[in-house]
Amino acid sequence: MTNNLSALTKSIVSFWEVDWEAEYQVALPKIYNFLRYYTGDDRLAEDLTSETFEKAWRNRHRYRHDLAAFSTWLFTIARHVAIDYYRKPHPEVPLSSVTNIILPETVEELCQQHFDLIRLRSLLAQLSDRDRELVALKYGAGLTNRVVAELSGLSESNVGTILHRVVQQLHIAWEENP
Amino acid sequence: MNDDFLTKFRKSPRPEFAQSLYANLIQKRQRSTNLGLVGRYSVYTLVALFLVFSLMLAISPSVRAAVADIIVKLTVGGTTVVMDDPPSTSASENESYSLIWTPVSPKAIQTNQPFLAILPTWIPSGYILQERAALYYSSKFDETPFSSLFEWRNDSGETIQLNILKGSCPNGPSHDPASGCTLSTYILVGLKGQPEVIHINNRPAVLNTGSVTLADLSDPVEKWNPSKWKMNNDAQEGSLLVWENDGRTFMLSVTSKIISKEDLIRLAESIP
Repeated sequence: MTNNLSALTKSIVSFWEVDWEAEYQVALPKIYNFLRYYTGDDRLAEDLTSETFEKAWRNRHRYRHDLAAFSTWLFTIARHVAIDYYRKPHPEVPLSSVTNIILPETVEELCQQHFDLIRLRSLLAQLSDRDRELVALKYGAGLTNRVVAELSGLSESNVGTILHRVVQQLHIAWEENP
Repeated sequence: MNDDFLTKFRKSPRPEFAQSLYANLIQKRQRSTNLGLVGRYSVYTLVALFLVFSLMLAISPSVRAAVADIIVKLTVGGTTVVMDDPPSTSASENESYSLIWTPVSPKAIQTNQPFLAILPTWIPSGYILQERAALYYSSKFDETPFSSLFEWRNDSGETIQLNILKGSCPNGPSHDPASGCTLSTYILVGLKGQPEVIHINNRPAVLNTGSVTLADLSDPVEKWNPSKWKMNNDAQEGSLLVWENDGRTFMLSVTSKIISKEDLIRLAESIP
């Protein structure tokens, strides 16, 4: 039974190119939000999301379904894309230049949300690269600790421990400056 | 802990962006792929079956356990153990994956990473240090390892694994500098045991019985999946001991019917 299911799974994944649309619909918001949280910039997140999917498409023959789930593979590419971006020199952009805020219904709400978003980005920017990436994977992309562990190379318990500590710190900072 | 403040900023990609990117990808796809309708429907059928299979997995206790939230936090003597929900009500085995273990010999670790090669001077009789050890890197971009793993086995296949991680109070990876160098670690509480705080060389340590997680070092090197961790939550003879000393955090995992608690403490205290 297990072998049959395994064979079935492999058969399905071997046709993943055909199911591109389904994969895209599911993965796009996750990849996008991971990159939003990681970079703190909506426009940049869009650019890097495009780059991620285009790279995935170009390298689709390298995808090994026996090694990782498709979404995991996509996130691996997204991480590399983000890291590569920050390895290159870029002009600094002030946080106040953030664009594309979620549009709420009232001006007051808009101001508060704009302020909150900038505040969160400011807090995330103070984290180490590793911690910010873990937060982006967990809270931006909404991945489980297990998948975050798989992507980051940390053990699951390490991910849980680090995130617990980081969220505690963020929570305190968040509450201190409402 | 309330983490709503972290999730509430998620948002959907702009529709025009999503559509534009998708159109771009489809264009590329159409240039290189031309599957007929029969193939397409076959795939949809297979995908549907796959989703059913995924659903079966999703409702199984072991899978649920993998995503269980933290429910207990125990603080004793400066050592905090954050415990996951007991994994399931039946014996099962789970696996989790991390990708960056590098297989090396114990001798190579002793030569090249002596900080991570501090080993016990006493081991229960019959246990032999295995030639396969491992170094662990925090990310693919790290040049120096973060932790090491050594394994001893006896003729019955009973196993002792020692994981040595860089860092202790106040700079350890599992420490919160803001809370008085609290050591935090996640452990899965077994069905039959409970964690207790003991002391190793006068330092607080957490001993958890009835649940242990072992790295799987059993495959041939060329097929080795160093990332495969096996957790047996009904390991009645299993114990996990966690403590720190001199810039390192030690995690000692044992599955054995013959190693007593006293032996385990003696083993741990023989680590200089």
